[in-house]
Amino acid sequence: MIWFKSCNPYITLLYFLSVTALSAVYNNPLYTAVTLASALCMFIMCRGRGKTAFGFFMIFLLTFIVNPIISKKGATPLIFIGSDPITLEALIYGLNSASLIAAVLFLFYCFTDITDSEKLMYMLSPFSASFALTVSAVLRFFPLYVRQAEQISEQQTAAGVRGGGSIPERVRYGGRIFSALSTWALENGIVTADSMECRGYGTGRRSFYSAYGFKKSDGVFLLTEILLIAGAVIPSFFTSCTYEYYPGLRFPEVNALFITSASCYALLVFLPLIFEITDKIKWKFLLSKI
Amino acid sequence: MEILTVKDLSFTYKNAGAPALSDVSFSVSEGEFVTLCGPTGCGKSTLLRLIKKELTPGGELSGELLYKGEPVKGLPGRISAEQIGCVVQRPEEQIVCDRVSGELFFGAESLGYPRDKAYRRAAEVSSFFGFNDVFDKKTPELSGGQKQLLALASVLVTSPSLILLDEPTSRLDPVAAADFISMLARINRQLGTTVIIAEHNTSLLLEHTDKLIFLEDGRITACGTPRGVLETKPSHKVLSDMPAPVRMFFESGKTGECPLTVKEGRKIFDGTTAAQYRNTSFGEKEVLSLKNVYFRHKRDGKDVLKGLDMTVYEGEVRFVFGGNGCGKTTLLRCAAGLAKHYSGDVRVFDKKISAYKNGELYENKVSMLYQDATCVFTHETVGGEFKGVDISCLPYDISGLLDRHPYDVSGGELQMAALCRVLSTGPRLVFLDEPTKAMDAAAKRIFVNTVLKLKENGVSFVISCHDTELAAECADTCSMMFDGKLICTCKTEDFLRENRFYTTDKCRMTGGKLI
Repeated sequence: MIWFKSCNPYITLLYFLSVTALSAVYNNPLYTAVTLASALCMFIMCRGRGKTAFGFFMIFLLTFIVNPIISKKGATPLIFIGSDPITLEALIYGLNSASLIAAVLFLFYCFTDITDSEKLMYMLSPFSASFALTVSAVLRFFPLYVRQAEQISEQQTAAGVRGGGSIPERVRYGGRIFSALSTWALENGIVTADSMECRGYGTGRRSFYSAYGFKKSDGVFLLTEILLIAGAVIPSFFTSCTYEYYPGLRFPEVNALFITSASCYALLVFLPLIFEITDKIKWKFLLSKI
Repeated sequence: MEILTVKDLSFTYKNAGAPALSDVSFSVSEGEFVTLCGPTGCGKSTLLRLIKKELTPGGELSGELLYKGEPVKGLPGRISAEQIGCVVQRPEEQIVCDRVSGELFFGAESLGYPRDKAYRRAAEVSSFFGFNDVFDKKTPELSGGQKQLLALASVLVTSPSLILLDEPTSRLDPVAAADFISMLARINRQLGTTVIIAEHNTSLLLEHTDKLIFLEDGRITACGTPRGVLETKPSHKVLSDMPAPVRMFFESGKTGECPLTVKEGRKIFDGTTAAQYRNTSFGEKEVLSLKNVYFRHKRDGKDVLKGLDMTVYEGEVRFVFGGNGCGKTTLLRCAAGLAKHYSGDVRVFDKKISAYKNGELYENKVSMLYQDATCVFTHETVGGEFKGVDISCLPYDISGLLDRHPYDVSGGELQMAALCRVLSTGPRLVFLDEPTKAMDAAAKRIFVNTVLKLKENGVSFVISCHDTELAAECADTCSMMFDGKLICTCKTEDFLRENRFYTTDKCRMTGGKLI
């Protein structure tokens, strides 16, 4: 996702928010299928080597199985387990929710992959420069703390302190490591605070600088994005786009408005992929020939 | 023009009997490079902290302290932040943000600079320091030397006219320290920024210094140009902080002009001295052997140790040299059984290291001291770590520290106390990871004596270190680590004589006759 990664963070945020919100609101198997397909494509493009979707698949399977077993609603029983019916409606509903959850998980994975801490701060900074700074400081502290805790514990072992033994002993040992770590953290914090004050922290209103520009293609994407969101949402005010599961399965009436909404939504979902591929082609055939 | 005037300055910390500074007077002109030196606890840091009003500790102050004619205390916060920059010892802790770019912008952001100005300053400084390649990187990924340079760079963004540095190179390897000092000298020369630096080790600084100030017990005992101060033989304490050419000059009783650099020293000492080495013998029993050892942190990571071999004998003091991040610490951890190698053979006292169970290895056989001495102390007081230990048997007298909190003890003393703690189990094989960082000359002396005394009793040491002078004084053998292997191991004098960068100034000046 080279193109999508390099575009303005607000655009990515708007994309992920609108897609997850719309797919959840419509709760329509057609919409869900489109979302899942796109999310899978994006996941494959984003994921690192050796990263599998096994965990996501297990969640998918669990949600899919649990719903028909628990839910007794629905008009078309398929089989009976004891006196409990497993209905077609509950089965379809389970399949839809499971796919929806899987799609959102895939999208979320891609979102965290695309949005690093710097982008997060850029998005937070207009609301509060101090909050953005806090986020930055916390992000730096976390790995430092983990490393220090490991070091203290290893040093204790090396100096002949035994952490094992009975449970109260272990608790006491853990407590000591924790207390050493917190003392270190406080001490560390004082130096950091001094360093901040030395460089003028607190002398006036803070500002925040970041280097995210707004390319022409970002503008095109944003405009298309907004038009497509409108195209997907507005028709639903005049016709029903939601799918009904209970008591019986009922697909919404297929009319011009519904087709408009569905196709706008499908385009919206695949928009990053379309831009990504266009960008790839552009580089392959145009820019690389220079 | 005088940028800083100090007149009859005395300072006493709250709840302290003796004053930390008494009747200190000196002045600094704009563009001067001032070096403050003196043993630990002489008041160097206190003096720097008084000049930077944000860091001024609580206590009683008398006398005058003027920055550009204005009392430092009354300076507006903005002026102090913008015009007086400060870099401290520990590079890790003074960095605030998780990105290099954020760190460079920090000062400008705090002072609310307009975007264009902030960008121009940050861009300029980043280019000057060569940070353009790491501008988007995360700060924890930088090396120690880069972190310290970043701390200096981030201070420069607001174009200060005075920079204060408190032992900025004490935690860096010699190559990184030299880089840092030469960058500092360049800033002083090219930008005309006034520099006041407190440092134990003056060997890198003397050639850049315009004014050398020597503090002892809170008083100035010498002040002037390096040549002026060194016209007559300085006191023993001053001398121990001076670089090797100066020390050798006065110790040899030569007359004439004192050499300040290795280049000047070579003219005097080369070819005139007879070879003379310390006796470096040790036992024949193997206490540690590593054969073809491989280690990596993660399965998908890179090998840190790549087929490393190493043998240490009874009573041997082995120093391991190598650049920062070459895997010295990892080697020590693997050899001490604290990190698990994935291939190869590690034997301690003729037994596979995995055969020692439940920490019996650390009961009285092996011990290790990490770089950060504070990791040793998990109690409220230093004494808490020594329960059930006979204090009088320890190699260093810590009786004065027992009731104090570990963080209130000075760096050098804490390091010695930590060393005592890891030796208190009576180990026969000791691993030390850069044990003399933050130690002054006097503390190093005690360290060397401790190691040599234990060596006589057959204790073996493996010490990772950057300090070649320390190796010259107490190492039997030295190894060079590179690319996950020990690429050479030989007697200390041969090692230092053959090396061109990892050697002592003494060795450089005498062509290897003295180490």
